Amino acid sequence: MIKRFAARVLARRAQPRAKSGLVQSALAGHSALGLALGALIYIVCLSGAVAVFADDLGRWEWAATPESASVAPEAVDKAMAAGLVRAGEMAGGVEKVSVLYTLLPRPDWPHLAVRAYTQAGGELTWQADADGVLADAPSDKWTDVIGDVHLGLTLPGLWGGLVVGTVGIALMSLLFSGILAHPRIFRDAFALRLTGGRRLGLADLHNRLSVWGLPFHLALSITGTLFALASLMVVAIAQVGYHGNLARASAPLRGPAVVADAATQPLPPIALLQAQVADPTPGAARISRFYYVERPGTRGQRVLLDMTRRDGLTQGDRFYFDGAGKLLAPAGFLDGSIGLRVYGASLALHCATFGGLAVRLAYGVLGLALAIVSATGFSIFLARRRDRGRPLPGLERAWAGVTWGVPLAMALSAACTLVPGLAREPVYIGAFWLPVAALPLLSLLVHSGEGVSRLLRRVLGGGLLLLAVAHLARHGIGLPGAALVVDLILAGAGAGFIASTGLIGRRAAAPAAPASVAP
Amino acid sequence: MGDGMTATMGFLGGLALTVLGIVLLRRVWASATAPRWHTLPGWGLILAGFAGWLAVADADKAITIGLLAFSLVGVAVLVAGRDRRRRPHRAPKAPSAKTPKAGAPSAKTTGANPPASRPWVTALRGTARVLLAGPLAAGIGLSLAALVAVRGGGLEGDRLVAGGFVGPIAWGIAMTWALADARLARVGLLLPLTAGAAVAAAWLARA
Repeated sequence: MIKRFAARVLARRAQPRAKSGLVQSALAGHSALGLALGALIYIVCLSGAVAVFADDLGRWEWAATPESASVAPEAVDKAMAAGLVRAGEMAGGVEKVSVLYTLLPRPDWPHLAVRAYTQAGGELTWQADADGVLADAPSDKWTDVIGDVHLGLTLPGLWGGLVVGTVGIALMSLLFSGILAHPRIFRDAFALRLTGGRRLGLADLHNRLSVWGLPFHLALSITGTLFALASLMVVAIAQVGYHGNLARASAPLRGPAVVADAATQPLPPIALLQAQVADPTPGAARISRFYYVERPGTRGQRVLLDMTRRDGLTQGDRFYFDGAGKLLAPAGFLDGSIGLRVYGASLALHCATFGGLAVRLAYGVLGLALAIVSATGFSIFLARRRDRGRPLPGLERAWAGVTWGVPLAMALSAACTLVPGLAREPVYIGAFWLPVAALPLLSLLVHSGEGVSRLLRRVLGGGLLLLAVAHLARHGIGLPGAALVVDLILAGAGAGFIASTGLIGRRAAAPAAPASVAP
Repeated sequence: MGDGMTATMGFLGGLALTVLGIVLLRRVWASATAPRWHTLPGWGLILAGFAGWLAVADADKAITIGLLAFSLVGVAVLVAGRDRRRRPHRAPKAPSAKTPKAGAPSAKTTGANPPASRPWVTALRGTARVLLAGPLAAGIGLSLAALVAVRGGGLEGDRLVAGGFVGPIAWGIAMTWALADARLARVGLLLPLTAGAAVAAAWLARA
């Protein structure tokens, strides 16, 4: 009896030790993973925080095109027919156009655009006016490139999804290990001591933003990895359960099939499609975001139309039609099985397609917080090394180059939209990745990490101000309100970055630690 | 009262209750002596706030908006209540590599850090940990996704989506475990076993 009691007491006394061991191990794993993938996580998070404003930035980018929140159905049909003819001419025949995708106007994005994908892997987008007349030349969207950076780091094929999916898993793992490694993270949730030592300030910012953004960060990382790794998981499921048959494994999410038939068939009028799926309730929203056709212009074309049906997390459903425009079935995001409804809700949850601008702003703030958490994690490691008397000055400078180089690269890439000859997708991609790769290396030439940080923040601030001014100068004061607001935000952010370096107004409080680490 | 008025009142009520709840939590957590149960009123107010959010939108959207509001109000209260003292704080003590004090748990007893060993042992352990946290964690995620998608109950579409969620979450947990567990042998044994068992079970049930 006494022996058993003593054993229990000893076991209890041993618990804190085991807990302390878990904390230290979790912290070690958290640091190692953050250091290994910190830069990629930062790029994915920051591009995601920008991409959530794709509609708003798209309006800024296409400020020269007159806006129209709704166009006549006949104009949509005319634009699509013209887009198919043009794509066919460029691809060497309509049969070589694999998909025709029309982005339909709506209050948040009042433009009409037709995009064609060819069998050779080409992609062409034409803007259309309210009468359905296509612009003479195709145009590439910078906002799509930023979206591609977030979705796949602009890598080709399935590689992008695999890399970003792995980065998302690492982010999720960092969220888990961060909680394990900081036993007081919830109790200290309100301690923000930015006026103290550099490392204390960084650690407080890192931990506080992590804990308050935790529900959002977990939801976004889980749904993001679901979409990014969907192809890989379907391959695994097909191999294990369906004798390698990918189509069979993914059938529940692919919608009803339409047998391919190369005979010519006009595209079904959008009015015919909408009439079959619109909410009959008077006054109900009848907004379609896109009209998507596989094997367009043939009798075997399969049509997919998005239609708003309610004001929930999932705003609407996607409806499949055959080549003649006869409704086959909905995707089931609204009233399908529980799995399909969860899938549809996950799409809306990750892409912030519910709640309008207010929700996009909330996502922007919390997404930016996640990017700050990623950046400060690496900086804490560098500051700790310096505090221990083992600084890594080269890495400090390079990391400052990454931290401020990525937003600078985005601004530089966005500036290409203002130069007609440079407004092409390869230029946007090059103007983004080249600085992202070069700036950390060039930063090694500067004397300190703090120096790099200050210099790049000034360049970024000046660049954002210039971008706003150049955009205003190009489009004049008659530009759409949304574009003007974006210009004002860019100018404000630019001024803020410059002010943060002490170039404007009172110099920021000097950190307590004598040797500081950027950013 | 019209729908618009109900939504406005719900929004204001939800926001007010969330702010009050978070401010209460702040007061309790600021006290070194307050027992944990004192946080209950704060959490209660935050939960009650969801009643307000439910007046704004349908349940799925309302819960999402409520969680967003919780995070944003938390960040706002955090920033508003940040420490403004000009006197610099002392930087936290950096953990040093000194010999632990007498009586303090050693690295060996806690299992936190492996005892100092030859560089090749460290490199080997590092490589093993990378393999466990990388490919093996991926293997367990994919095999569990396949198991749920092939063998789980319910409709095929539901199983596929459930597998899609289980895969990344299991992968993330396995990665965390592989990186945080000091006993590498335990991870090295259990991770492959679980992955193998999941694949075998899914394989046996295939169509």
